[in-house]
Amino acid sequence: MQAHSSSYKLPETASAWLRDAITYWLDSLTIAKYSIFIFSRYRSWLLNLMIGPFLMIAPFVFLGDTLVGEGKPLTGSYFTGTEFTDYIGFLVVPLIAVNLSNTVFTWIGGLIRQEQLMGTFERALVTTQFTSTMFIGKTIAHLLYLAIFAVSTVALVFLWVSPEFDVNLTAAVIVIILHVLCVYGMAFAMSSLLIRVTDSWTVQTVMTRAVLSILAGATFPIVIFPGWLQAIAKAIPFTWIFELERQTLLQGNGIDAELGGFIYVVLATIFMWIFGFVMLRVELANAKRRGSLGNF
Amino acid sequence: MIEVKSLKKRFRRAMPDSAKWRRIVSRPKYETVEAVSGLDLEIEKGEFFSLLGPNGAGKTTTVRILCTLLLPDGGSCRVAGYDVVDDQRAVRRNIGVSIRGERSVYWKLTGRQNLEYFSNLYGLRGKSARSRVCEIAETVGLSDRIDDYVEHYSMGMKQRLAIGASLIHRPPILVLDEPTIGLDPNGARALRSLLKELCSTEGVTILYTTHYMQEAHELSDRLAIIHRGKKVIEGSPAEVCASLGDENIVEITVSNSDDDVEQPLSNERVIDKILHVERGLLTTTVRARTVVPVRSVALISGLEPLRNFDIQSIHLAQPSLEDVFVSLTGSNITEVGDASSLE
Repeated sequence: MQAHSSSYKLPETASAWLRDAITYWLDSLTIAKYSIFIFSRYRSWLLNLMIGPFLMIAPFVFLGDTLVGEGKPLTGSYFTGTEFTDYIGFLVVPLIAVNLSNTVFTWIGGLIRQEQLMGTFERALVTTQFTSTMFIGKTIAHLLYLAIFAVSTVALVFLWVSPEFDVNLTAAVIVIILHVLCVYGMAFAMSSLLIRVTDSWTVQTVMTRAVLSILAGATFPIVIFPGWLQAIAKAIPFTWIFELERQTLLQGNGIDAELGGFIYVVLATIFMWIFGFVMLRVELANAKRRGSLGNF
Repeated sequence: MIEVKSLKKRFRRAMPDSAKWRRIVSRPKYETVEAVSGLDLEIEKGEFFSLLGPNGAGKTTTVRILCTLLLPDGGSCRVAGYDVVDDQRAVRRNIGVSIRGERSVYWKLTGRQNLEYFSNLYGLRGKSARSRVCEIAETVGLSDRIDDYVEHYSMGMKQRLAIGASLIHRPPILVLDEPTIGLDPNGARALRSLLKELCSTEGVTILYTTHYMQEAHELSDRLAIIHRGKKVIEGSPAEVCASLGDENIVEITVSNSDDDVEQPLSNERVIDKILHVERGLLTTTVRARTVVPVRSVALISGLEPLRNFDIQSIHLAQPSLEDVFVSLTGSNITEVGDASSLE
């Protein structure tokens, strides 16, 4: 009996590298397709994805309106601190970004743990030719849901709180793509590390919330922090991403408004992706040595 | 097809700590446990080979190493000619695996989607994948339920689907880790006949782990009994059973009384070892190995320790795999500690 090979009907001259590359992408697409089938069985989750983020954003906006809305006493100090005249936009743009990042962290960050909990992780590992296709496949599937998330949240935001946008389209598209790449890179890195950490959910949740919601200054200017905390905040790529998104979506500025931050985020993103893939190899090998691969 | 030489695998196991507060606030202390200790196996093409042993014997560890899910600490393993450490992708292409049984398939997908998913990942697409899925559904007897969601399947159906998924790419080697656990007798029987057929008609080499002795006896061309990570015996079921001798097993049934029959009998010189004691409501049956072949039950019935008992029956019995296991390891297969909680 002859086993089917994962190679596809390519000319004999095709290099092993090319065959591997095609296998890699076809496997990733297969994983994406069936992940979407699995996601689609959880309809309540989809509903939550469409409405949930807005429900988290709205209270901040209403609080903002109470304190710094038109004719309110704190308006002056708020504008001085943030350097933005539109408090709604100042809050809404990073809050959408925080929620977007959080859903990626939740899904991709806990990817391996989810497969372990279902009991399918080891089965998937003995089937796939390249382990990281699990990440890429799930990411492709998740991007579809991310699109639903973004469209529904932006629509609800416009419907309810009407922020004033002044968009530099090219710069905004570049920044948003960079944001998505950065958040997935960080989620990969975290997911790989979580093979080692048994209580991964708590670690992941606390860390992402602390980093995204507090340190990155999503709802307030980081100038309110003491100097040492500002230095830490500035080391977090999301601090710069939020700022870049505000600049390009609300002020109509180009990337050059925060060029240093942009370059830093690009480098951090590249680092995160490389780190994620390297850590996946290292941690999988460690788990295979310890025998903890299928623990759940 | 499968070659294992001096295989070794050690695990760290958390030691139980009586102080509750220390369990919460500090890292546990670890001890090293040898799960597999110098195991040698050679499995030929087209052979049905069973690894037999109690929980914690090292069966699953061995299987996981062969499937590239664990890295060995010593020795070497080759599957279909490929090294399990250096050629992991080639090994994975050549084996079909069913571990964790019914939990190894996606319950939120239908049976067909599961089979298509695995066939796609093995490089089968389009029409050839679809026809192979139908073929496999037929083989594992799920054709009529193949479009149902797996969460609605019975445990036996999930097990069969898992085995179907492992066959989808026509692997020359099939590795099955305790696939009949939790199945009802009919489901287990159907699965066994399916596997036997695969082995005999399609020439698939099967490595099968189980702790059901009868199952291993029925299915295997050859088997190995392992205990605490070491192989204690290997051969065909008949050869393994014959190792105890043809006329050395007796089964004595006595009426229950206040006295214990086991103790005095085990001190008797004719009796080499008590293999099994089954206490019923009215009678107690002792299965024992004798030192010399027993040509007549009269030799046993005349034994001093039995004079005070009401003997219901004495007969010579054919040695079973369980007798061999008890005889070689000194413990009953159900009594051996479970080391499955190894880290």
